[in-house]
Amino acid sequence: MTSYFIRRFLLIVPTFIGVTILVFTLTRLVPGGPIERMMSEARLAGDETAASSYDSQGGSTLSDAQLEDLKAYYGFDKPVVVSYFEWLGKVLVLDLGRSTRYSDPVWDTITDRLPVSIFYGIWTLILTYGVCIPLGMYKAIRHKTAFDNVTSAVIFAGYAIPSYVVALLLLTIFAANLEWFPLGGFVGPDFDELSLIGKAGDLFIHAVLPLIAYTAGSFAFSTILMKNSLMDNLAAEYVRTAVAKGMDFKRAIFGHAFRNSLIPLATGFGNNISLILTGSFLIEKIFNIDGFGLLGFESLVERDYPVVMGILVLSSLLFLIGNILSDICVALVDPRVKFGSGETSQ
Amino acid sequence: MSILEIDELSVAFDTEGEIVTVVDRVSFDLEAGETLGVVGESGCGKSVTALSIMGLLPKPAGRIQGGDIRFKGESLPSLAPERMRDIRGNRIAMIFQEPMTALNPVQRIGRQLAETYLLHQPDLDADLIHRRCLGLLDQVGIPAPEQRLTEYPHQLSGGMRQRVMIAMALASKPDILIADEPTTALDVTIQAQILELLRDLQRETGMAIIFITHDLGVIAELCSRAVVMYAGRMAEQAPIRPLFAGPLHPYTRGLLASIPRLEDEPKTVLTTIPGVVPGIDELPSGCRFANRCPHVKDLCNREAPELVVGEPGHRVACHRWREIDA
Repeated sequence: MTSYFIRRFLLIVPTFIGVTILVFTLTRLVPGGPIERMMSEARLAGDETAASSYDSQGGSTLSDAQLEDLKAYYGFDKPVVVSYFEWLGKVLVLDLGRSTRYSDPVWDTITDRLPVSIFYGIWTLILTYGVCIPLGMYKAIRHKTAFDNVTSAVIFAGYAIPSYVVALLLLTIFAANLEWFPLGGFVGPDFDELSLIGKAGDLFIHAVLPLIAYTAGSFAFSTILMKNSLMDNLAAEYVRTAVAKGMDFKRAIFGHAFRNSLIPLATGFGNNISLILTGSFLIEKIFNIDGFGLLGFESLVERDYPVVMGILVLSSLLFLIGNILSDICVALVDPRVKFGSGETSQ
Repeated sequence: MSILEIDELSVAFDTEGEIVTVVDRVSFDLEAGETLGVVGESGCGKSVTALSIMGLLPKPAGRIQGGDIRFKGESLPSLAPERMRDIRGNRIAMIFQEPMTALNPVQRIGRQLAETYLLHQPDLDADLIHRRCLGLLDQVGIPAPEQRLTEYPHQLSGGMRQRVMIAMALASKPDILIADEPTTALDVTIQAQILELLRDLQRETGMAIIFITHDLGVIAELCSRAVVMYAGRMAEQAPIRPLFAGPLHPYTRGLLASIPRLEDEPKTVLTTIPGVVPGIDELPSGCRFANRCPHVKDLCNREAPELVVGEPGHRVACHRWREIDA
């Protein structure tokens, strides 16, 4: 089993190279880029100062020499493969380059947003599992009762309504009209002056609405998975065996059916790790939160390729590690799973 | 003395709003230490009868509609759930058809075995439980018991798993063991071994066994008496010898005639009972075997036959058993 996981970890390398080389090449192929953006900015500036006097160089405000310099600066003068490996070499020493938009190091731009995204990511994860597992269990035991039907209706409604609509509704009702919660932001403007408890309270009151918007759609999948999986296991013969031994039903659920019904959930657990960093740019936009989703979206629109690549590095690594984590989780809950070794007994 | 009396037991299932009686007024007694066979084809109600004794009918669909089950004089269906849990797995134990799925796949054998002790004798210390588990595995003929205790069910063969199930059932030295087709899922050699094991264990422990099967051969080999069921009702009940030598019910006769015999000419066409068992939603009001019976008369279609004593210890539910005899 250990050798299996070592192999899986080694496989991260080619996969990572594949993913990044693909996106890197794409950034070269799509129209637009930092140079074009700079040119249009320069043109706008030029238009403002000298609206009538056009340049001699066919409308461009930059000379050919300046353009060549810029291309060399961004590495566009070399073939894709060469500049990809230059980029990769820098990544290996944790240098992700500089943002073409802010001229700040990409690493700093990303780490600035990291606490915000991790905060929301971890809470989303805790809330999702913390609610879905008990709710799914209760629904399985109370199958086809009023409680089951009503909660199903609620979580499916949450699943069906797009999260940004939920976000807008929450914002309109609870922040704008009722004024129970602030209109947005990660923390309030006077955060630094607050006491420790005040800070926690401030963080909490800012997080309530975005967290609801984040999680509303994610309850349905895990809850129903948990419910169905537990129902399957409750009907399983080994639960009947346990009851036939004289165990009461409740103990049979927790002692026998519960762990078995976590197996399908464990398969998805690792992948959720990468959710920590993705975030939804729409929700971040609506609640004015400076997180990863917004950063990724803006850097794409602005053709800020070093930032795009930097986010890709992080998210693809997390995704690949998440997959392995899923395997480990499954192996932990299910002793029948033996990765790699050809030993199966059925 | 009878330790278990089943008295006019009727069990109904609620299927999509319709109530279907799947076991209809079944009565039989079980003597201490005897092996009683319950035989019949799939869906005749033999497993449902067993589950009713254990109080394990699927809820909320199944329920006992009428009659009584008395264990040492105590009515089981009316017992408080806590008291029933004391009996279940302790005084009356059960083993099932599918050893592949009857054990929890994610728990070690040792833990599942020890559970019976933890449930019924909570004051035993861990060391003693461990020694007893080893003893149980040894008793059911599992080699290297120390190692098996730490293994998971998927590491054991089907026959081994059924032995573990039997060990689990034996843990609290029950008065009655209900074996619901325990050998059906196993291949023939393993079947023979498990039957042998059950017979030896019974001799050692003196427990009574209710052996449910559709295999008349197994009944002949293991049981002292047998109940023949058809479509939810009892057709016949008799000690083994008279049952096989002189069956009274046309269904039992049909079953026995269907068994191929070694002395038959090769390539003889197998005898079968024509027709199929009526579905539970289309049960006739008269005798349930009427549509397949070679001796059917008007009366059979009109009226359900009562179970009557034909010969001493031999009961039969047929209007015409006296006429068709011999």
